[in-house]
Amino acid sequence: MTAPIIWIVIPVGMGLILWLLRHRRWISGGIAVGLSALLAVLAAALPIGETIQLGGVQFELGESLFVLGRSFNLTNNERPFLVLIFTTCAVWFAGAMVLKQHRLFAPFGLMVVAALVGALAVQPFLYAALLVELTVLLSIPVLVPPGEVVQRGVQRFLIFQTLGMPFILLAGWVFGSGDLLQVAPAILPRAAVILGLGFALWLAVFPFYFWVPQLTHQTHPYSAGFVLSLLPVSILMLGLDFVSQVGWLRASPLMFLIIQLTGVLMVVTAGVWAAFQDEISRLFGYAVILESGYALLTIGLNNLPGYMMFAAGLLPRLLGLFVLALALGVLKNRAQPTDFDHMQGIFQRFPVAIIALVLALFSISGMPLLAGFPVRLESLELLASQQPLLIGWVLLGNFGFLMGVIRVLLHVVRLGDAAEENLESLPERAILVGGMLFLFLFGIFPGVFYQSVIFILRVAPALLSAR
Amino acid sequence: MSLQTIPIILLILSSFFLVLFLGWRYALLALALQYVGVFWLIAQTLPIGLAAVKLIVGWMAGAVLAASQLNLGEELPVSDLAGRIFRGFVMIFGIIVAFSILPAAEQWIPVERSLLTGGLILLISGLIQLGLTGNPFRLSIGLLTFLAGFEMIYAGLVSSVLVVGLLGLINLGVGLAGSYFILSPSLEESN
Repeated sequence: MTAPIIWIVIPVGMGLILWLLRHRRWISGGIAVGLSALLAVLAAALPIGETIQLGGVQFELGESLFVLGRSFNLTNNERPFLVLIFTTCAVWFAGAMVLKQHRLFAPFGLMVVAALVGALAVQPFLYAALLVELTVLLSIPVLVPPGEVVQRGVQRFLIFQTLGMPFILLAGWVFGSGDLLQVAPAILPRAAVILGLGFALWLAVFPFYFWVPQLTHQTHPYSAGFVLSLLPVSILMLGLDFVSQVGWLRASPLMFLIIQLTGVLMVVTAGVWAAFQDEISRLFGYAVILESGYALLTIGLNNLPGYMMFAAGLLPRLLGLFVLALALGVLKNRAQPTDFDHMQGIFQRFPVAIIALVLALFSISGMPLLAGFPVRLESLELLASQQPLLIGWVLLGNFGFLMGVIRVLLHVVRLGDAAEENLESLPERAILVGGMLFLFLFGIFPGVFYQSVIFILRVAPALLSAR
Repeated sequence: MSLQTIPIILLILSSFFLVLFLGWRYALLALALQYVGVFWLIAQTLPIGLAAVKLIVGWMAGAVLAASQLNLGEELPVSDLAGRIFRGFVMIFGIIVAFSILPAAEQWIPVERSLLTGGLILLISGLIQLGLTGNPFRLSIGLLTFLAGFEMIYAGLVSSVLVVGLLGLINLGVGLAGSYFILSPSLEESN
């Protein structure tokens, strides 16, 4: 038995089985939750590459799986990331059951995660680009439920993600071609530009991000949230892994400066557009862009505290987007429009969902006591000490996003003229309250949670050992 | 005229066909021609078996799309003469751009000239198709064209069986995703 079989092959196989069971939504959803939780527990408990004693049975969990001469490697360094990604999936699949998501969500969701883990595990790196593209293709049925017309946002998601793949493959060919000293010196900066373009398209970096608000607006927010939570986080980890493997990239201060400036541009533009946004589901898209901007900012710092802040920022990011998507999903399921013209009485109809929505948005904008605050504060302090000229722009973007959230708050508290019926179900309220509780717990006791998540940086060991 | 010019001409013609004629039958025919051109050029660098994989997978993806469009029972929206003239000029401009950037591309990517020429033509043709349509069938054809262009260039750089296999899987995936886009509204409602 090898680790890639457990964390890649089994989820793919189970995804196919769940596809056969797709009309039994509760069974397929329950299996997806159970399997994801089990895989997260196994990732936490089973050391890879060491002999394991289980009762009277002794076995060793191998690191590699060979397919057509190429290997999929999962080592102990990847285990914290596996715990994070499969725990996240278990939570999203549980939420999907509560929100009664469509029948293809669980089967394809499971295959999406397996493909992402495969992308992180495959060696050499250039194959990761192909697996990310497969992930994108597998996420199409998650985003477009059967019976619905495909919208422009999904089409553009597919187009932009597909356009990114060739750039990564070309850059992977240059950087993965053995000894870089034998490559013509002029080629390396060009390859770095190509690599940057590829990641810019994948991560929906400015100016390639206009499809993100379109996607969150035109598809079910919960499906969009699932894809936009897992995909960018995994791509960021892939990027770190790649930079970690290529010494020439690690040693390039210019590259990290460009990453930082791109992050600033994303935070500023997302914040400014968010301030003028009248549609909450589009604001969700700008929240994703803002989070990616902050992630790039912390990576661009290129020091240990910066990388730690990047890793620590993943938890509030995933939690904030989950609660936001869940709250918007509750509204969407009851055909409640989310533009400012239809907000009157919404708080009476969906009190818990509205509180959760506002708290999630405040957390993303870095409000004190909420999950996003400690990481935002620390990241801004680090940035201010390294790039004092940029901090004003970042604060402007953050302030713009906060303005957008305050506008949401002002609209959702408008009470209806007559008494309104509460339309939320008990399970929806329960999971929303749970999400809000964690938003506060992460904000009040950040050390407890963030110290465990920073171990995911082991994915890029060379990057850290050099700092 | 060398033998390598014929597939390039085939690719240019198929690109014009794909952009000018919007009916799914014309598109399928042009796509089939396009993959013949791709096969012809790639067979110069990759073993015939691997090059044939690209031909067959491309045809299969096109067939999946056409079958879905046929199942839907709706004709694609047609274009008037003015639209065709506009798209024709855009494509002419695209071909000029492909030949203009060819010398610079040769500096960046060390592959055979004919592969690079054909690849660039298809890359630009794919981008033009993607930019000019919102129709799921046309969009999928545009993505397949773009990917075919890239695969031609990449075949000159990497000749791994796994890469060819995964790219084939991606082409089929694009065909299936396009098919899902086309048929999704007519599928049974979820839940």
